[in-house]
Amino acid sequence: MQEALNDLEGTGILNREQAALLRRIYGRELFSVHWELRLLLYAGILILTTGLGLLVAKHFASIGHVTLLAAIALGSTACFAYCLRRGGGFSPETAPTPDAAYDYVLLLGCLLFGTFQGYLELRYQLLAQHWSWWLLGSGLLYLFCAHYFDNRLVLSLALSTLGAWLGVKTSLFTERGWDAALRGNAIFFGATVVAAGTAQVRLGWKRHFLSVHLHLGVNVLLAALVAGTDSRTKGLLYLAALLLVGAGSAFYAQRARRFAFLLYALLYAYLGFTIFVFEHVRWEAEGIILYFLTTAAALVSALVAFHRRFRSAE
Amino acid sequence: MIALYSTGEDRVQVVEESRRWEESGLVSPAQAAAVRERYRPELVRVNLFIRILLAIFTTVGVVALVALPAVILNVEEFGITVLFLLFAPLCAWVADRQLIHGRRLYRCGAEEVLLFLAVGFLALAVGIPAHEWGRSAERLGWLAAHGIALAGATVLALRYGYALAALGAVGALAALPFHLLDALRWHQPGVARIALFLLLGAAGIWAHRRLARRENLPRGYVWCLETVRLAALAGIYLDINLFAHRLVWKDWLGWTPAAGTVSWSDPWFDLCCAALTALLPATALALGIVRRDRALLWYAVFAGTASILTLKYFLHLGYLAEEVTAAGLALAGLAFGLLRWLRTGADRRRGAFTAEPLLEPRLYGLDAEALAAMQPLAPTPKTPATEGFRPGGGGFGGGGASGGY
Repeated sequence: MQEALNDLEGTGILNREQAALLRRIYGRELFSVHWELRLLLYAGILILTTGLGLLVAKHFASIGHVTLLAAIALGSTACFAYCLRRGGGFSPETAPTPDAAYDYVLLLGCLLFGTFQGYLELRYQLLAQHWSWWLLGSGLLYLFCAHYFDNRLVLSLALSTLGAWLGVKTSLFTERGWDAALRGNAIFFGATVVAAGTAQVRLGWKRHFLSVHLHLGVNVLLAALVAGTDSRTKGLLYLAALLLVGAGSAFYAQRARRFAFLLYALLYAYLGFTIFVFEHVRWEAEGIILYFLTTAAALVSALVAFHRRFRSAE
Repeated sequence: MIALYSTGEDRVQVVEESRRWEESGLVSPAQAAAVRERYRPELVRVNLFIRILLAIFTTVGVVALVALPAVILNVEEFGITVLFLLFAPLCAWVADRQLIHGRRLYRCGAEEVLLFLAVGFLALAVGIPAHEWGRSAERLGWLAAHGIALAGATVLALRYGYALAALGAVGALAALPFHLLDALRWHQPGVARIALFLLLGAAGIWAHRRLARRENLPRGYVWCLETVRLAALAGIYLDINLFAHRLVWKDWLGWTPAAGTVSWSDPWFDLCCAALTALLPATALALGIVRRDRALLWYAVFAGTASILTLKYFLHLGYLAEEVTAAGLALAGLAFGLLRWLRTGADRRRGAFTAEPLLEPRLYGLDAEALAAMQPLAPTPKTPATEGFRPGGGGFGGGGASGGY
């Protein structure tokens, strides 16, 4: 790298200060441990909340419910108070984080709030068989926190909690054919998450949240559609929808040069198509092998053509 | 390493690094584009996700291609061996001659998979026919297949600089003592364990010493050596840590020491395991700090976290809930304290260390988009300076002679 830096400085592409700073970085005279410390902080908070959960389960009889609930609520409130005090308030754009611990303190606060809710329901059964509404409540609170404090970590937590609420609600209250209902809910959830992300971009509101929305939404949507392709009655409908969504994902991948969406599109579409074909056609071993041979050859050729056309590495 | 890669990798590296400079806001997009134009690689590369797709579908296609004649001709062991012996060199030839040297492909998925399949086919061609020659021959046949897999993975790592092949080689090397003893019907897991320790230790030390001169090595070699070192360290750590729980050794490998040999209850067993479980991450951390070695620091973070979590197997301080809570508090407190300590130093650094993100993390070939896929820990690209980099001015804005950076 040092030779390249000399060359780039010599040709004037990098100025003297830039080259000097990069030399110091590559020569390890400046060494950032930013990501290592963030990882340590993240691991610490996850372990801490797990330990607190275990602690609650173990000691709730001896310490007393009110004391434990108060301690958890206090911890959660302290975390939110810290974020409110240090944060710069709501902004529709990316907000700079005041310090590296900020994001993780907010995460801790949210996780403690979840523990608080769980404990409250476990002990007092306030909502009884309707306990899934706690999930909706915490999901909405996380969503609010994610937007107010500008935190993608909590946004992921919010979206997965809302998804879990839909899943739990379906499995608890649907007596017959709950797998079809679950699939329907997953499709609705995935589409809503994608639509919400897109709408936010159009409105110019938290544009940088789009990737979280899209990665989660597209995966849920495609997985739910794949799960429906083995249906005898509606398999074709699911397959058509899968190919449509897959095409959309691939188109977005090419347009935005985010090739992860091409990976999702091709893998899910291939899986769904294969399930559909084998569900509806009875083949001998040779036919099955020929199917894999021809489809793999076609897809490799298509990928090579795609790369040549759009220069994926650039 | 082949000349095509050793000479071409430098340009690839500069181009990839220029992306990190741009994402970190150290250079403007125009400057990054100029760097990429000047160092345009001659090697053909594809995006990581297209590489994964090419690898998957090439595997499906080649396996189907081998299976088709096997099914049509209804072949048995001998026929399959012949097929594997035909396809192994064919795959290697297509990958090396046609794709790498002919089309200058560089880590595009398809050629990598073909080379791995060539090694796998060759190993299977040796292992499968031995099935018909009796139990002893079968054991030796699969041992030979194991040796071929080890040699093949080593060749791929040396010739093409594939880190995954290096990882496979370390895995095959670690399993070799057990396989060897099993083939010889000499049921002494203790001996195998000592051999495992020696092999992993030797591999790790060798790789570590070679890495001291990393500046003079091709990038592919550095990745391979890094992989060997980390895999060896991880193997040793897992062995000593899991041994203390008796999990792998008793339940999975069924080791029950015979009379007169070492007993589970020997106090020095647990003491040694406890000492090594603490020493390994601590040594890695110390070496990582002294040498500013990022891989060792990551190893120290993971191994240290695991050590704190499994502390209860060595020191019975309390119960699981309290220990996990204390471990979480200790880790989070340590990280938070270090962050604050580094930020309160002159120019927000202590010595060479800073908690500021200088460059976005490099995950060995994963590009920024790959990081974005790993939400939510992915970094957010900073807005690059419109007029290029402005040094000085306090904070973290410059470098070199202007003081502060």
